[in-house]
Amino acid sequence: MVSYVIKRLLLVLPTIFFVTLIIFIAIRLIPGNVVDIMAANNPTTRLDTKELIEERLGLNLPIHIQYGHWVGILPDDGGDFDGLLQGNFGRSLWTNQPVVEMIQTAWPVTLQLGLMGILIGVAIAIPIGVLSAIRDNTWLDYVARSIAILALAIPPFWLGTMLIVFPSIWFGIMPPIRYVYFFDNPVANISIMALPALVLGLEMTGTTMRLTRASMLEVLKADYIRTAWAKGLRERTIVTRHALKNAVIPVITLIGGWFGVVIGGTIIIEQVFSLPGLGRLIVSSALTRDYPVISGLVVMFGIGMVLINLVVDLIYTALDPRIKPS
Amino acid sequence: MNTLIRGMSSALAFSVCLGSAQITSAQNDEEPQYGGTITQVHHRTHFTEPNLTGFRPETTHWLEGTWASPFAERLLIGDIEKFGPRGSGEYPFTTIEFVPYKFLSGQLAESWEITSDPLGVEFKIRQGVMWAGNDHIGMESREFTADDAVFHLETYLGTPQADELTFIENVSATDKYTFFVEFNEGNSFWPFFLGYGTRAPHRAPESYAAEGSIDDWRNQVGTGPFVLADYVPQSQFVFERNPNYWDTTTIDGKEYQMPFVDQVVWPMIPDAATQIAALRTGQVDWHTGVQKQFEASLDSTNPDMVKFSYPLANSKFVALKSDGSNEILENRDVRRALAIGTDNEAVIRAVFGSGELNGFPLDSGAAGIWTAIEDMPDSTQALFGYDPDLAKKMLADSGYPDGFELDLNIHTAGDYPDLAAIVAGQWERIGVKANIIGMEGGEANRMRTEHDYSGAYITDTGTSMIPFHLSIGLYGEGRTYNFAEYNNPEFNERHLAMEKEMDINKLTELGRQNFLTLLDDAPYIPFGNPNQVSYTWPWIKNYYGEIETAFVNYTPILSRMWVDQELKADMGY
Repeated sequence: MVSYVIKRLLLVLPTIFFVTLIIFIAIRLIPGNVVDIMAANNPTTRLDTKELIEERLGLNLPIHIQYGHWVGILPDDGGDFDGLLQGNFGRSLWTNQPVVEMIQTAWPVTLQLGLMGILIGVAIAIPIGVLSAIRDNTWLDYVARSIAILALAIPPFWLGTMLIVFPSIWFGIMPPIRYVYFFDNPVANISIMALPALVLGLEMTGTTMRLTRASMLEVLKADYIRTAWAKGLRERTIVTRHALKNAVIPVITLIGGWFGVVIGGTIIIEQVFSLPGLGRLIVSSALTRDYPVISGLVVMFGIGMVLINLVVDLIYTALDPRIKPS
Repeated sequence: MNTLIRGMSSALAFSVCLGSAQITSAQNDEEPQYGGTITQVHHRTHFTEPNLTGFRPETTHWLEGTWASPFAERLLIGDIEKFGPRGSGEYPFTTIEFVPYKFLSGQLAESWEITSDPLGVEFKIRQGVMWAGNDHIGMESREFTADDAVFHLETYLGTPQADELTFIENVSATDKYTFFVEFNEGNSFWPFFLGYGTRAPHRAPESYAAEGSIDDWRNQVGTGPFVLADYVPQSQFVFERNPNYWDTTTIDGKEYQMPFVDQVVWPMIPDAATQIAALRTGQVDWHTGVQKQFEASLDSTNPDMVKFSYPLANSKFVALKSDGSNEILENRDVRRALAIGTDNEAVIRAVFGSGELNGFPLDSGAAGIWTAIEDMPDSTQALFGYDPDLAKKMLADSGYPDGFELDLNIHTAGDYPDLAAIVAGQWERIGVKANIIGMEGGEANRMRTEHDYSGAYITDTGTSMIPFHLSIGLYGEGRTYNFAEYNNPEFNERHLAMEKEMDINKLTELGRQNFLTLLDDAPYIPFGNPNQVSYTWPWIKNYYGEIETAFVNYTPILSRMWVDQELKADMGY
């Protein structure tokens, strides 16, 4: 097990290397670079000023030199190696703020939103999915499946906007607009995050519920479950102690994948609910072509996804001893 | 056409008067209170992404001056107390980013004098103005001096953005409270660049010397009515009262120390619907940039709120490539035909709801330069009309009886797709087939600077209508804002003269002539300026509908506002 974990962790390195290379090149191929945007927003800029800006930002260097500086395998002008390998993600081209600091203020928000969303999604989806399976083809099943379809069909940005606009018109209420971090004031923080987390959770509910239902239905048909019925065990015992553990394995895979989807989902929700998270940061960085911030975020996401997949695989082995790590 | 303009002007005047009457009648019976918080959303709130909210004035995004304005003051400022609706009423201070020279007063500068030999401006610093100090960097409060002003300018001068300051030869302090800016040539827009523009807010040298330098929000030090108490990227700015602030205001003959409120909060709310919901529920006290589409809904749910309507100086237009690269558009009559074949009033109604038809290249705030349509020469007036038959005839006379095809490039965000669809439909009637080409923001920005399109390009003036755009920024040769690559020798000669003209009357006349020439040659087909609305809750007092007092500066307005906390509580907020 330990060697398996070490092997998986070592695989992070080449993965991240290819991710950094692809992203570094890809974002610079997008039409309209950061200098264009800087110049476009300053009416007094002369066209030759753009060259000066490029030089100041180091963007006039050959791309492989820029990459080497950023990764930390080539020394900078001062002869120092000060890049990714040395823990330096660089600085924003616009504000000169360290990328690490920009990420530091944003990641707790997205992490909290994601975790709360997943918890809400799982808390809603799994019980409903199980109930729907064990009451297959009854009105309860039809209602549950309808809820799942609705959750799949409703776009989160629409739902989020409706949950802000209509309560403000009908009741004069909306979530607080000034963000408070959890450890500064947990109660205030939860009052801000509850609604966006609900919207995010509902986005995941549909798929998770349907998969739970399908997986549970399959498990309930198994011989060992028939044996359990025959032995006279109660329904609750059969479901919770025998069926659920096996039915939830594909759902765990789905939930592991949700961590990646959460990042995409939080972009919209952070925008609508004005949350200062990574989703908004990556969108604004992409729109302003802030290359170090984009690259830093992608590296962080990449490492995060690899680690999450590892955790998911380890959970499998815990749930089902027949699955060996290999 | 003229009815629309007169209607708009009347409505604007009425709105301001109505608002002023409401405030005045309330003010007669009320004593200003100290304390409370004002939460403001302004029409640049959607720019508040962390990549754009840096604190280095000389190099960061041009909006940096916005975030610094509550705590960092400028040499010059629009004098709302003397000339605005609460004073003589000569100027409404609703044109964003620009203040006519005659309505400026000194803020950090007590006075200034233009000299001819040597050419330049001598500034006398206001004595007794104190830097607020900053515990984080270990700075005690101390007096603002001429050396500080020189430091600010010299820091600015060595950066790429300083190409707008090439007219400055030297900056030097002659004594503790006097400094001289020597020019190597005349420059008509020195009040903007030096006095009240985007990079004019002064910061203490100690902020630059501290660890993290001026880039760290905790290192900021200014002389303004507030200090930057907290900054959460992507979330909010929080400014708290500076207890040592130097300035006062006079209300009903009595002098009061400013500011009145303890705190100003600028939440960063990128979504317009969320902004309106926050205003509606009382979480936002003042919103300067409510779009017209939300007005009816707000009026029905919150009739108590006070509103002021004004035209937003952000003119959108079609740029027609006039540099000869497009043979068809090189023909002036073809361009004029396209203008006459575009129904600007319909565009305003359909896309903006309402607006100022004649707001390009400058809006009505540019006194002396801006010319009302009815005062324009007949040939220019004709361009604001809509006559598809005449347009078709003009195209036929120009050699295009069957029309032609034209690429119409747009940014796919915002109003541009709607504008393109309407324009394409109108041009189809006159035989011109527009091929709409959509671009993402970065590509659209690249096109804004490189101008490497053929045909037409719908874009905007970037919320800035200051007269220098008429000479330097927008239409000068080699300038990024000369989207149409317009090149008229007579125009060029006047714009170069404008750049160097220091006599305000001559400058105004040159500007007026270029204003009319630019419109008449039709390298741009303007759509007019959309009206926006400034809303406040009734507990916000001493507000007269002003929007800005300098380049993106609300602070003199904010520091005069006070909060009737009892009324706010009575209303249940």
